[in-house]
Amino acid sequence: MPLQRKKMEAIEVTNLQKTFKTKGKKIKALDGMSFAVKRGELCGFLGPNGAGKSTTLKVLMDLIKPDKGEAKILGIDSKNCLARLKVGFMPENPQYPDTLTGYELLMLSASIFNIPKKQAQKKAWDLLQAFELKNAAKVPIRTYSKGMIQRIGFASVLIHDPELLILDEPLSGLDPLGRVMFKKKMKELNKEGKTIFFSSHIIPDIEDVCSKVIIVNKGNVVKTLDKNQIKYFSTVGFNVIINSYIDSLCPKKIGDNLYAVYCKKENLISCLDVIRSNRGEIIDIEPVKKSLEEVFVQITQNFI
Amino acid sequence: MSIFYFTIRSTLKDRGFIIILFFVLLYAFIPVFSYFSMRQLQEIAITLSLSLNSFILLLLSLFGAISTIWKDIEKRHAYTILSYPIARWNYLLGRYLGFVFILLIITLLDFTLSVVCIKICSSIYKSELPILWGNIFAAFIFCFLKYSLLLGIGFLFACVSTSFFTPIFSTITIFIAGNSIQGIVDYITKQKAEVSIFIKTVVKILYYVVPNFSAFDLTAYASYSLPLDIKSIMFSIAYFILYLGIIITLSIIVFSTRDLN
Ligand SMILES: Nc1ncnc2c1ncn2[C@@H]1O[C@H](COP(=O)(O)OP(=O)(O)O)[C@@H](O)[C@H]1O
Ligand SMILES: [Mg+2]
Repeated sequence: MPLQRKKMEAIEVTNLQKTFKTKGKKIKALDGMSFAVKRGELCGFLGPNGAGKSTTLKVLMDLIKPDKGEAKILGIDSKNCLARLKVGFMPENPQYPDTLTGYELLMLSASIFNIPKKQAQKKAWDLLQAFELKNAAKVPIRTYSKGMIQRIGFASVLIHDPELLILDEPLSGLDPLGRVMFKKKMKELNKEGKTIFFSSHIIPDIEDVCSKVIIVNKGNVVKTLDKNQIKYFSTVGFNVIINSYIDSLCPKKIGDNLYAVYCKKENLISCLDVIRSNRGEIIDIEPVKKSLEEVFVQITQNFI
Repeated sequence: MSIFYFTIRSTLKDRGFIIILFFVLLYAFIPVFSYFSMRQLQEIAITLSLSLNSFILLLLSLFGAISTIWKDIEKRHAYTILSYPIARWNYLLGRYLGFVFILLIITLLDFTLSVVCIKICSSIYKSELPILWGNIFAAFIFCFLKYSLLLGIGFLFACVSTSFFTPIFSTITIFIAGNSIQGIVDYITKQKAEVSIFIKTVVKILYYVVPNFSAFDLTAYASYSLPLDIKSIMFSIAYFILYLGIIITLSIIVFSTRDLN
């Protein structure tokens, strides 16, 4: 029975400790990091800069050796290179050898995974198409824009059809359109059955797509949220946009015949009631989110 | 295996490599230079051909560790390459052998050009010595072995250190020490009484630690057509295998335990 349960875990991290020593200074990057990601989950790894997210992911990929603790991916110890057989990893701000073109990068990945050449070529062009990189396929990656590098990086970790994707800040540095595309892609891949674990320090990136969020700070897990908790956990209130001035609500004028009324989460209904009784028309209602800092304050005070 | 091919392919496209490759053009000047020596044209042409090959391989072997290991770590390509299911030893060996293959190709290219140069020179002024092509080829191959070893030493330093200069300067130091150690030992043993025991011990230790590069120098055999001593050749090959084995093993151990930042 325990064996079967273990098989369900895509990622298992137990009590990781890591201290970096630079110029005589010691920085504790990981301080007892422990968590698990189940197969099939689309899991976010949320925490402010310096929380130890990248360090954890590097330990998972065996790029950094922990002082203590162990990490398993797909049930295999991460120190064993075979653990990475069905994994795709995209580092933070990926860098690729500057002689490679986008197409060559995909073919290099394919050759390392022993994919037959014909099949690899087809898959490579499919991916280039899917990530809108067909025109840039034969151009060196060093001439790519930030968004294009991110896209070719994502494509290159998909060529061997991995079961698990580990992505470090995949959305950072993307323009709004790129973000939408990446989120959509992640959702699709997750629907196809792939487990995805990705880090971010921005709340909206995570709550749109994730089925679970692991929140970390100072090298440790502070909270794990499931799908229902994620949905609205960071909403503090709403901006209700109306088209007429209502005295009792003291709205802010934001345009021609446009006024914004801010109300707290728990006051929304009474606010809407006032608007209705004044025959106001609602143009839009937008949620107002907490900042990551506020979330941490509330977590430590057990509000969430 | 993929890393092996990848190393060859990306080195052939590397700007630094292409710049070094331009030195091959100097082969065109060898007949000209030799011509000024009037006599001994053939001997000089052979010596110059070997020296030029040696110089090009020296540049390449200093460049090798920098353009692979150091660059991968510094520019964070290692994050991509080592996140594939490739063990660290496999990566290192692929990188090393890929570059050794480049050294071999260049050696063979240099040899081919040398054949042309030597033929030209020997036709201008007939030497009483015969041209022993076997000896010349052996000298080229031993030059290749010597720099494969130096390349291995560069890899070891690049695995240990994160800086750009440490591997280069340490490798140059080892290169100079390795070329002169035999001479120093010979000198000291001739001096007998006057050298202190301390210096003798230090030199003796260095003699075993530093690679003895003079064992790989067959230039005299090639240019003066001396008969090769099979026994000492075999000894040098065994020395090469043993020394290289230790260097590569050490590199793998160091590289496998280090963090990649
Ligand atoms: N190679 C390193 N040397 C020294 N300190 C490091 C190194 N890598 C990370 N750190 C430190 O460890 C902490 C965690 O870093 P990191 O895992 O990159 O955080 P995150 O990805 O969550 O922003 C930070 O304080 C960072 O400065
Ligand atoms: Mg990070």
